[in-house]
Amino acid sequence: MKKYIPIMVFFVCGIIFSMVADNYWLDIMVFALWYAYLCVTWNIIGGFGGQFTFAHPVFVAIGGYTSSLLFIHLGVSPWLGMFAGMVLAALLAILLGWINYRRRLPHLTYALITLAITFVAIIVLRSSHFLGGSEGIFLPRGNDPLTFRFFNKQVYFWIILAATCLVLVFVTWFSRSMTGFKLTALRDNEDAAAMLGIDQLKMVATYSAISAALGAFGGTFYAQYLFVIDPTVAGSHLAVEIILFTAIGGMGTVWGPVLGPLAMVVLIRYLNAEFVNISGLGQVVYGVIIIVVLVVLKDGVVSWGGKRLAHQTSKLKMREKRQ
Amino acid sequence: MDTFIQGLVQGLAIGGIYGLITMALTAVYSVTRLLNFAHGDLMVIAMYLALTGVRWLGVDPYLSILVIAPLMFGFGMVLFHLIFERVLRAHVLLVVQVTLGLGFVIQSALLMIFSANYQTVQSFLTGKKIVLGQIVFQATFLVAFVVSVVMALLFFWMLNRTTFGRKVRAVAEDPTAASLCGISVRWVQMIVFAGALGTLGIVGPLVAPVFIVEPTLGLHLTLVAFIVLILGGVTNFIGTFVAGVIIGLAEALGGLYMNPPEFAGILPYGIFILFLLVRPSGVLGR
Amino acid sequence: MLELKGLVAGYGGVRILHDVSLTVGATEMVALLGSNGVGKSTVMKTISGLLRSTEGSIKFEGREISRASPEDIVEAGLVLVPEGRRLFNGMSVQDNLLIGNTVRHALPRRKELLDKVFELFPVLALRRLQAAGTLSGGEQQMVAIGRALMAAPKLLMLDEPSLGLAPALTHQVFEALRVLNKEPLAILVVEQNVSIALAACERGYVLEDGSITVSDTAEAMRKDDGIRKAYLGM
Repeated sequence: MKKYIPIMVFFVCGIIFSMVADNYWLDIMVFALWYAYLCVTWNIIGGFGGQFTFAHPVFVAIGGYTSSLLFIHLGVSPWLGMFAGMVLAALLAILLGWINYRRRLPHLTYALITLAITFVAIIVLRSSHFLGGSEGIFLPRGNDPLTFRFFNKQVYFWIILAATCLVLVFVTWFSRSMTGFKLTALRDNEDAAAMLGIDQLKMVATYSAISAALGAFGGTFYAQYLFVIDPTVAGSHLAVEIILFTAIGGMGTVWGPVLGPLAMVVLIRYLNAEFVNISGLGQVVYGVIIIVVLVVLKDGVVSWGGKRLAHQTSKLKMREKRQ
Repeated sequence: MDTFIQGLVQGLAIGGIYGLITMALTAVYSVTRLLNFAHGDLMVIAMYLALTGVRWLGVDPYLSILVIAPLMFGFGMVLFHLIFERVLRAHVLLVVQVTLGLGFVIQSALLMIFSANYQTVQSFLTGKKIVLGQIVFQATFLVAFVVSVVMALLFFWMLNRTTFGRKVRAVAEDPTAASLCGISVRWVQMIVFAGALGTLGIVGPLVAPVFIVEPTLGLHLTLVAFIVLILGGVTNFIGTFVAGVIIGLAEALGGLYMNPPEFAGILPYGIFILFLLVRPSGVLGR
Repeated sequence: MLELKGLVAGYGGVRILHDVSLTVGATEMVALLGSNGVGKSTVMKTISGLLRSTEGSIKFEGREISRASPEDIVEAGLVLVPEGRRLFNGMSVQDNLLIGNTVRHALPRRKELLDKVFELFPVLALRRLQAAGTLSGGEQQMVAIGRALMAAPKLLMLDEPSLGLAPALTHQVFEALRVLNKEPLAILVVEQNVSIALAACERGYVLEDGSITVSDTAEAMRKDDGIRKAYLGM
């Protein structure tokens, strides 16, 4: 139980924040948490699983478009529609994973394929009239809990906070569990893992599917929060952001993908306040920081911190032993 | 028939450009084994520099090459020393992340400075056409194609007939052996990298009148370059140029005959994915 | 000319060399012997700058080179013909030789050096434009040596030149080395083939467990029973 304490603290902090913050700040933090959610879900297969993929936004888009289309055309509540989106996303993820496995694609090749898929997805979404074209799909505004629509931003905040915390619980459990160990073993050395009898296809397919399905929920949330979903959400720009924000926090760590996006939001907020006339400066600075961190630390901040901590504790232990 | 020939010509022109852009990427890869995900974004910098030249200084993009190319070359040396040199021996995925980060910074900076609006760059050749019988060429396309071919030929000449080219080939084949022959591998890598950026500094302003200029063009160009790189056989420069032409033709002819025309954009990716599914291993080998 | 003192080196925390000391005079031809995997190649890699030593010193013509880059070491006149030759297989014989002629002090002598190489190994002149990868093992070794010579070395190092060569070719190669040594050109040879190494060289070292255990004239070593039993199988 001890290992879940940080998540509980995080949750409580979030609730407190939601009580005192104004709409402006709530809006910013909803986005920050949305990014964190996407990064944590991507990290399941990207960081822990070692399957470097650009395709996460495509799953997000599948989720958002599916639930929205079902809502608009068939009146299905997004609370239900989102499961359809999650299933579709999971199926696509399994297909990609199967192809990856059968063809034994090198990591870089697989990454390029997933990048290509984001471009294909955008083109398809833009060209299709049924899917709303470049404008996307608009959802009618309303305040109806049964159809996942609220006027109160606080509710959205709670939803994304809860979702993020739940996913963090899953990742925390996962990172200490036997399956988690098997997956990282697979990531680090596929041949050795095979000899240990780890079923590569089953593992990768399962966790890709989980990651994709969770990502799809992110798409539904996005659509419901903004009352619109458009093709850019499937694009490479978001993919790169997810990868970089996770990388700077630390791939394959639990809190890395939370730290990264939250730091970005704080930084951008600060810089936009300081330099009102230069919009976009925040991203530039953040990008530079990412490069510097990666080049110098060769790993994310959380990983580096973890290693330092481990080093210190082992030093302490050695000292204890000597005494 | 006329539209077909026109599409063909357009495809060849764009393809030649793709080929040259990718050859720059290939050259860097061959001597450093680094895959630069910011390659396209670097070219977009050159395009925006050309745009600045036109808008603020009234200088024609073709003329601005004289300044932009050396500038990009110098920038390449700085960039190599600051960033790339330090990740030469790192894990390939770290390099991807760092170069993605670089691309991200470039894109964000361009968005900040120029906003997301689509821009066009006018040159003295814009709108001018060359007529050969029934076929009409856009002058800007033609110039871009001719220059691409010339530069590709120059590159081959440099590689095979000069001392430096010999050093490049040596480093590309076996850096350790090259250093045992007294070649400063680091120096060769830096010059090749800077040269690649210098090339982008020429191609950028050249195609600015041809493409629509906007900040997110970068990653798209990078992906096309990677597609051409892989289809062309990674270290095979001639194959690269040919693959570029094929992709360009696919795009152009697809645009003519597919319905809706925007779908043609999928063709390069479709070809790419199919190719990788059929022969993926041993192409990049990582 | 070349002096190693107390050299310590290894890979990633594993120490291969514990305390290596040897010398090579300006006109000498010296052999470095030892069984497989004992670290002979590591010595060569460390001298030529490919590997960084953790302790000890390497002096060439009185100057400390243990921290120099490989290309600077070649520039100084110390050239290695690496194990397995490491030719540029895709390039022609001529291009391989010309690549060898990169260092500043050798450039003006390009024609002269090239002629010398073809004189020493006439068969290479016939295969000038052929891709190096298509040559036989013996010819490849000649190209490798020729490539090193194009850098106008003062001391030539060879790592297992007899590897993969038939006895007749090995003799040919060592004959060429003997000729070169007389110019004079200092030579340090790492060899598995003890008999031919001791026949050609005037002095020898034996590397064992990461340090030098034997240092003697070649003649004495040829007569030594211990060496004969261990390496010549007698």
